[in-house]
Amino acid sequence: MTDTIELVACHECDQLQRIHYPPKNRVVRCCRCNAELYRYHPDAINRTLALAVASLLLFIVANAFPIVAIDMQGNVLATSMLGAIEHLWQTHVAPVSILVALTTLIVPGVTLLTLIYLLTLLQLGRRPPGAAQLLRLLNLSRPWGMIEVYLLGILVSVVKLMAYASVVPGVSLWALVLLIPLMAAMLGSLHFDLIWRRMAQCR
Amino acid sequence: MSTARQYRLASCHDCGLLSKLPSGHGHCPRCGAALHFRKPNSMAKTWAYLIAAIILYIPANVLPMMITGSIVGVQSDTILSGVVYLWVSGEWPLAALVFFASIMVPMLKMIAILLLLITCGRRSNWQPQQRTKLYRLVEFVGRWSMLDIYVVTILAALVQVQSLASIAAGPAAVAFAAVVVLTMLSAMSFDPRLIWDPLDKEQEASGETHDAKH
Repeated sequence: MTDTIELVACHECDQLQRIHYPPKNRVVRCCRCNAELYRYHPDAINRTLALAVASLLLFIVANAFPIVAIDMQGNVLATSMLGAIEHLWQTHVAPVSILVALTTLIVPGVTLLTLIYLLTLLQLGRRPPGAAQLLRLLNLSRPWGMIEVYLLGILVSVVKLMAYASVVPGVSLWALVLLIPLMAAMLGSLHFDLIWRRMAQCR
Repeated sequence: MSTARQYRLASCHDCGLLSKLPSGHGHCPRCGAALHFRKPNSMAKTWAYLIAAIILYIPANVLPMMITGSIVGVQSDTILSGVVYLWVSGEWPLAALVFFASIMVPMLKMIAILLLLITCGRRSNWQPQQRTKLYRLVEFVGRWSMLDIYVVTILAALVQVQSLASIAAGPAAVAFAAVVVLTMLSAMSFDPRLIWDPLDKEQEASGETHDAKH
């Protein structure tokens, strides 16, 4: 890739400015409002793909096994993420279960699968079909993935329950603890602009 | 100081590409997304979501969030009484966490959006840098108010030993979930560039006369 000077507009304050591309620093900020203009790493696509695959494996584990089990005077109860959502669906607050399913299951799951699909094809030097729609979907869904808040919710519940019952952490809880930094690193390492530039080369 | 709109340039919301937009609307040549200089009807949408959120914040705090049934009887807890319960039972870090996430964050968020809407509506050029920071904070912190919803979900699923105890989510859960969604939508429909627009007054004026021709 040759060095060019490009004109960009800040998405937060509309300030026009010239930047070097590829940028000299990892993160380029707006000169007026300090918003992030570019997050650049030459190997970002590879790195994001690796983190996405690792996250997907942990995400499957986090959903397949119980999060916590409680022992209430001999009655042992365990629940998984799906079980909790299903239980909520059966009560009279069903709309909440849709929101919980969306933020902890659907959005993170779709994000991981979409990124793996797009980045795998890009690494193979092919232009992924439907890329524009998928990237738009990712952009739209980004604020709605809330796995880290969910983990905090589990921890609060565990502390609340410890007064009444003995609480046994499940496999899924450990998977979540590992998954959160991985997903944060994955979302932090990628700037969509890089995907578009790579796609232009694949044509 | 020159802005993209002054040069009839628009950056794509989805892929970031800067392209010429002489007529004021069109599609991004790279990704096909709709292009515009500012998010359409940004202020009106933000107001609408915010007002809905403020209204629903009342039932969210007044109605019970969690209904606990045990051999001793049935007990309903609102968000605040849940916090008080945690506080008196000695779990004060947890009480502070839940209080912050479910009472302070949504309230401060609504006040912050209100402040942004009023200052932008008056085309104020007061502290744009600080107001942009406030907008970023609102966007970043919003998701954390889902905390109590998750706590209720997990507790309700775990504690269902019929004879001993059971926990169910109360009607406030629906209202509170709606508040979270509405404040997030409100923050997402706000266009932070409106904070900076009044700073480029003469450019604004020329931009508007240009708009009027189309």
